[in-house]
Amino acid sequence: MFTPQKIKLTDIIDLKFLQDFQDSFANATNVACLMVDDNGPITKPSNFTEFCIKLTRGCKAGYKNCNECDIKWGKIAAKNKKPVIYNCHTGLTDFAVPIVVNGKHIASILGGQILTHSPDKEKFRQISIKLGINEKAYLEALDKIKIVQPEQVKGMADLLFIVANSISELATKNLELKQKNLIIAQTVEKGDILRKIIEISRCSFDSHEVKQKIVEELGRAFNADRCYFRDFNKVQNKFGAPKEQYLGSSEIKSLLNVEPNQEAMFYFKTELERLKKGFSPISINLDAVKNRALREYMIDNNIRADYAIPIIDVNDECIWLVLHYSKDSTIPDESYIKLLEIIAFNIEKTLSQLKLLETLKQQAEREQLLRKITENIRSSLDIDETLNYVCDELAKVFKVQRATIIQFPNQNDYSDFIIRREYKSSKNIKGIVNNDNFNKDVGKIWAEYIEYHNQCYVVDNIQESGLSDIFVKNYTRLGQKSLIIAPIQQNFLNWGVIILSQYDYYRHWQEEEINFLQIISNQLYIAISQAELYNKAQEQMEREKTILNNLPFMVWLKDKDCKFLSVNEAFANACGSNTDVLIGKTDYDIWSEELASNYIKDDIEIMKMGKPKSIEEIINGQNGPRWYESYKAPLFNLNGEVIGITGCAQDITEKREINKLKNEFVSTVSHELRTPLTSLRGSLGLIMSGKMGELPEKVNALLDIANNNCTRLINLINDILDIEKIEAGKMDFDIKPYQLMPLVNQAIELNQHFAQKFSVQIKLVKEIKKEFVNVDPNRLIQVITNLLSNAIKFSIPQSSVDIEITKQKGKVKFSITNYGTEIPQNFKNKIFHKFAQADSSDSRQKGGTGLGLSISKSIIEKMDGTIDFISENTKTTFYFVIPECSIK
Amino acid sequence: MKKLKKILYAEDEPDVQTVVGLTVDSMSDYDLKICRNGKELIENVEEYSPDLILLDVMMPEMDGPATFKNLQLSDTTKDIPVIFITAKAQLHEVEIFKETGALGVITKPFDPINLCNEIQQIWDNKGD
Repeated sequence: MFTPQKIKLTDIIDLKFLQDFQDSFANATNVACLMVDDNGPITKPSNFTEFCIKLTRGCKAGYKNCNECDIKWGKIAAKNKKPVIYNCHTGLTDFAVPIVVNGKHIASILGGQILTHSPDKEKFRQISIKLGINEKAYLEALDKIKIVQPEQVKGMADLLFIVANSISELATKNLELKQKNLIIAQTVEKGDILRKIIEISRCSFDSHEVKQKIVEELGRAFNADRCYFRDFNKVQNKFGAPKEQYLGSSEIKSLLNVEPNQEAMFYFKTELERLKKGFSPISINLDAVKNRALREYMIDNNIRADYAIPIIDVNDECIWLVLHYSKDSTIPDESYIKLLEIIAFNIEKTLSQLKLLETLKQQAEREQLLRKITENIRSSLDIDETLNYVCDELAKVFKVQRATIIQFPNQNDYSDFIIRREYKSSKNIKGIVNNDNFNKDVGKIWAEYIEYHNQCYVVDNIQESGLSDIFVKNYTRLGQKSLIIAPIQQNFLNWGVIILSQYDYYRHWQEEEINFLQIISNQLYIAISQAELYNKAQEQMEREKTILNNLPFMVWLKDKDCKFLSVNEAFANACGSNTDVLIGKTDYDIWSEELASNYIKDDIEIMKMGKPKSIEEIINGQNGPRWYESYKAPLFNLNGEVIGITGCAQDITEKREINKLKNEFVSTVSHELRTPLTSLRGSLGLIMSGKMGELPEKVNALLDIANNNCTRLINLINDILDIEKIEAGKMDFDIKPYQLMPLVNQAIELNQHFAQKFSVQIKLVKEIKKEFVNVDPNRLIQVITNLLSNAIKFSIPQSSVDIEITKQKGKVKFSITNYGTEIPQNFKNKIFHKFAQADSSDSRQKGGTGLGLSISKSIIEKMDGTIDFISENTKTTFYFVIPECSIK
Repeated sequence: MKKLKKILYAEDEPDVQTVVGLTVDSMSDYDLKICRNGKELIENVEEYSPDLILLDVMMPEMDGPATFKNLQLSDTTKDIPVIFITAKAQLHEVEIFKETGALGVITKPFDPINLCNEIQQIWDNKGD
């Protein structure tokens, strides 16, 4: 592919043609003929005499002399541009004509080996002695040489000159043609190289693989001894070791992964800056190198010529394509160097495309990683676990030597920070855990930056960062070079920071890396918030569980399908199981089939009705049949839909037992009290009837007192019995529709006598007509009597007790007002309590038991009514409201 | 209607016996015979042949309801009207006594002045 250094005649004209031509000339002229160039004979000698070929040229010295003679006279002929006739070193007559192509003398044709006159035998004899040739044979051979007339010699030389010129002309034309062919071939070849390079660019997305194929192809095509790519790292300001390489032969020293001599390499960088050109090779030949380092480097690596082509991509990153030649002869010509520029341009395009692809791939990978980390963060609710995972993962992804997660528990003092996690790539890395030399005030600086920026804070070079002394000093002491601080914050609440620390080089943090870290730190904040919430909820649950388990009664929670979601220990104990085992079970797994089906029927009904229910039931559990008071309520979600049922049950077996005993006791006591009272009252009544004879006035007064107190005692016993019955839920009610007014009138009638005693008038101020109410008539009269007697007792003499009966919205309101003292404020809220009396002395004065209103309230409520009062300015109104009966 | 004259009364409490005895004596012209308990009443009922029987409920040996049951078992006594006099004065208790066939219930402690009227009223209302 390269232009030969010297044109050879045989390269232009076929040797056979030359030989044939020479042979024909020799035959025609009957003289010897030979073609030579600078290196000696080209053709086989034609018609050579014995004298020359056998003897003179037969010896070493003779041959050398002949050859030198041939070349010398050829050159002289070329110089004179005409044939020369001369005597060779032996003295024979020869002639030489030049073959010249494009002005360059490339060969000569020689003819002769003749004599123009009789030889001086003595002279030849001496030559034979000098050359060490057999004298006799030499002289015998001399005798055989023809003698030709000088004019004839001149004619032959002129003829050969014409022929030589024709050959020269032919050679010139042939050379032209050949060169044209060569250019065509070269162009095709160059196109081929370029095509192959482009092909290679498309063969893979892996830049390393593509680069390797390019160096192999280029190295081969450019006949280089070494071809490789060399990176220049701008941040580190350093040339890197080649990662891809082609070697012309196994004898060439490999530079793969060998760190180059930086000083030597910088020659190229300065050259590039000086020339300010891209894609043009900077070529140097060892002979021209003055820089000592470069020279040493070149000698060391056997480099005669070095072609370094800078490939500068869009990001201003530089990578050099390098070709080395160890021999001058293989160095490509200019046109190939031009081709290199085009190739470099193509490589640049290829590499930037690959870089783009790589960026895309990296982004995809980062995206994937992000998803992985996020998933991991989200899936764990253990804060420490999450922090450890994120810290370690970030250190690995970012290839940093240290990653630290800091928490600021005190928002008022950031120097009061906690190191939640510190990851170190090796033991030798200096960290800040247990490092007393690390000034805690650095915490303030972290916080300050993230507070100010609300995003990652990036420091490529700590020493040159211009940050506060304390910051730079502390980090320099750790041996750190670069760092990045990511806030774990939201709404200006600084939970803490993630810090990634680079120790091995000054790192230029990429935009994507910063964004990536920011996203992770945002995710982390969310995860921490969730975990904190979860922990709080967990604590709450734990508390609730403790409360539930310490409750003396059973508590359970079922889902819509009546499966247990949660039960407390009391429940588990009653079933002879434990709380965990029961989750997911149903009543059928615990109780008898009959019991279970009843419970579930009940549950379904409660869920259907959406209303709570309270029941007393026997449960045949671990401790035999026992009475339970159960309360069951449906569970609702936020949309008000029933999602389950909750219940609690208290063992009331003992309570019932006690209650039964109490009832029996009260019943017995009341009987035992009534019997003596019967005698007492009977006796007093008989005496007071006068049938037993007249008594003195004073005795009568005393009898009155005795009789009144006897009556009071009877009332008290009756009230106590009533209260007891009400509380036990055993007060019997015979509720039927009754007209209200007759009952009211009956009650008024019953109390007329009592009213007269207090000089009070009962007035029916407002009444209704024939409205019905659903009541137990005796109990209603009991209530009205109670209210009336209270009103009478607390009226001022000569006043009235006003009764009003009104109708309102399907209800009937009965009000009774008296005029007298107002109910004391502090008594108002306990007026319906048992044994409630405003003044303890009242019971004696007014003769009440303090149970009346409590009984009245219970009775009214039993009849679906309400009872209340208003008391102000000496006017007190008690009223009850009961539903009007719809059936008339 | 037959006029109420002879009353047989079972009551274990001596004080009550006295009070009821005095009351009936001074307030009416009934002939009242008092037994100490149900058993004594059963022993005397055929011989005394009362128009009406008053029964206390809680008594030793034989209580009121047991006595009443006994009376109903015998043809000679099953038609004699019975009134319970009881300290168990709850509504449902009164109803129970009435349902078993008692003529009436008088609750203790009774008002002695009204006792005879009450007995007479129940007798008059028996509707035969």
